[in-house]
Amino acid sequence: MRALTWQGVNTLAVETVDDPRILNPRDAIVRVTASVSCGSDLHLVGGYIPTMRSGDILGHEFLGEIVEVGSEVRDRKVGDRVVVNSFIACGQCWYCQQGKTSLCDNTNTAPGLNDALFGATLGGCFGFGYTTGGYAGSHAEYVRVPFIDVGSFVVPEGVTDEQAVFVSDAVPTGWMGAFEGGVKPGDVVAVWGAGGVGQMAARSAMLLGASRVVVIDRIPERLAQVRDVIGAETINYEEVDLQPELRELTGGRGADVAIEAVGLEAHSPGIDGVYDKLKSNLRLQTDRPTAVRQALYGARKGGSVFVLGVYGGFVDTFPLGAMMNKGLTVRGSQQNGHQYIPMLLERVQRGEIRTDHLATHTMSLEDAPHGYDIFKNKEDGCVRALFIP
Amino acid sequence: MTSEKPRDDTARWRVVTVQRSEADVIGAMAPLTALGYGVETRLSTAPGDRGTELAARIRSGSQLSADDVRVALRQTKQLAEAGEIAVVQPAPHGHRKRTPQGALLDAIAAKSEGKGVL
Repeated sequence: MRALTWQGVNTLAVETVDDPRILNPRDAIVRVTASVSCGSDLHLVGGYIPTMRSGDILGHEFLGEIVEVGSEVRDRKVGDRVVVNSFIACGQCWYCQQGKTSLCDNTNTAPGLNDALFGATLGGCFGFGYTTGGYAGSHAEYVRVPFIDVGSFVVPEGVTDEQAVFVSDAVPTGWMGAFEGGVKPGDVVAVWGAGGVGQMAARSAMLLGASRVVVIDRIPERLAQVRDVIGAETINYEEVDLQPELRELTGGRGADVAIEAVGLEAHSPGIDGVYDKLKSNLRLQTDRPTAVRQALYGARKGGSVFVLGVYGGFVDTFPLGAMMNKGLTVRGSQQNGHQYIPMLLERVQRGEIRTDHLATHTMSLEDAPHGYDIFKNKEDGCVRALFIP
Repeated sequence: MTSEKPRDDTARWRVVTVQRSEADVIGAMAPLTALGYGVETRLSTAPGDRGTELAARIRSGSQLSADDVRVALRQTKQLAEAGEIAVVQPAPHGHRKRTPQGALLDAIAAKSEGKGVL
């Protein structure tokens, strides 16, 4: 089959590779019909999370048709059109039973590496290197899906591939940030990042009853999508002084819930951005916490901060004082979407959540290296590149 | 200041919590029993409805390594909870370049299953 592979830092290629096959009885093989680029992939492509081996297949946000099932698969069958959660969960361990499926005890085949990095092991994930178990990714014609009964969801009638593909990751990640961040009716919510996840976090906050939602970014076309499609307000941090603007917008209080949807390659025009970039380029810190820092400052006293952006290691100048003295609740997580996806698919079907606008560039898998190029450099208004194998 | 001899890490108990009853755990202990007399096990009820704590340690004089025990504990937990042991190989992949980083990653991946905080 054809697949998009990581060749080295900022180098991708489409290669002919072996077809995947069923290895365990709860596996299935899915013929991928749509697979989309994600901002977290850029951390792998750029070598910021250095756990990709040359030749590894990228991609974790996808849907497709089941073409083969293992002997112990009970709830799915060949021919089902399914969206698949990015994280691989067994559904049986204590964490899965608590709904924390990204923390599954049983699906990561590299526990030693995880334990060394984080003091514990998170679950497996498609196309994310050895950190999440070394599973082959979805930017391919076929992908092996372990525990298909747990991790796949039949797409309802009337929901297109372009809509459903984002329910694999961006939609449940955004929902998790708003819901588990504790958004309540009447809250003022600030979201850092106007990419797919940030937009879905903003929409989720609105659906949970927030009275005002503001999304912070610098890319004009993404901010326009937030205003025109999501219906939230925007701040372009390159045009105004962010913190005073946010303070004024929240009646002097700060955000009740601050959601960070940027990740470890954050940009900032200020001195902190220069400092972070210099230190990460010199490999004196692995991640740039610029947006997290801003979220901690921008949250109200006693407010909530939820970190959705992906971080791989260690940061410098984390505002621990702000966190402690303001009495903030700070949480973060990889995506625990299994519990939310059926409800979110229904919301997409009812038109409460729009996603198709995120796929600004649809192209053949053969063109995926170009897709990642424009996605990484935010060229031509690219929000997400959607690949059709 | 006292000087204390370092604890023998090889001989200590290593523990996993399995979200299953003791009977279910016993039924899934093939990876541990395959290690033979060289490993000693014990079971106890985990607090807070979290199933069973399964502990194992290497008997004195055994040639088993800590990695052997970690792998067997994890595999027992996976069999008891999920019904299968997670595997990724053979996974489809493209051309593997021979680079120092690649060699390092391969070495880490090869050892990772038996390493960790257990």
